[in-house]
Amino acid sequence: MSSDIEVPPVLTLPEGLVGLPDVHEVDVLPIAGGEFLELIARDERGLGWLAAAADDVRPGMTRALVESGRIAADEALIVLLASHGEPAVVTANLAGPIAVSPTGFARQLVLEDPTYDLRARLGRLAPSPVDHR
Amino acid sequence: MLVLTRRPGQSIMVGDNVELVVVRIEGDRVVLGIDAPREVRVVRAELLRDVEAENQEASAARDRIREVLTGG
Repeated sequence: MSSDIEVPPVLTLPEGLVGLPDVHEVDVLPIAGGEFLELIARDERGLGWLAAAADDVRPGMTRALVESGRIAADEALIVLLASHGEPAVVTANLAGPIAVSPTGFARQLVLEDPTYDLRARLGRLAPSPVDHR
Repeated sequence: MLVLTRRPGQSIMVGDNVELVVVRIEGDRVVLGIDAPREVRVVRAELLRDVEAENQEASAARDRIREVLTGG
């Protein structure tokens, strides 16, 4: 991830994810050279997500949530990625970011703020075409 | 479901520390004020449903997203 955040290799979600209350532990694996994360549920086989640093999608989002008291200053903020349409467009869920403590405790927020899109396009994070010259 | 009738300015307590106040009524819309502890999640039900659906769709599309992000 281009934003400088630390995400522990295992996340504990005491309350699960929204709509998925049984997802209590996920393994975190870096992918694409560490630009993104893959989250794999330990307790729910088959469930997993791709994620990015929230600030990579919406610069300043972490600071804004710290200043509004929604997250602690030492929490990292990641967002889950989805895919919509054909051809696929990758989007990030800014309305439901996940706050991660340095010890790996995580919780999904739901933000009642229309500036945080449910499906923010991931334009600038799309992989660059390989240069074969 | 409990159904209560309230007028603007009147409120309803939920538990000991959540208060819903009818601020005003505008046509077919009711404007509510909610006073709740920070740890209590207060969101529109449809937003919660949208985030829930997005979580599930994101998981279902994980392989496809990985292909897009890693170029194959």
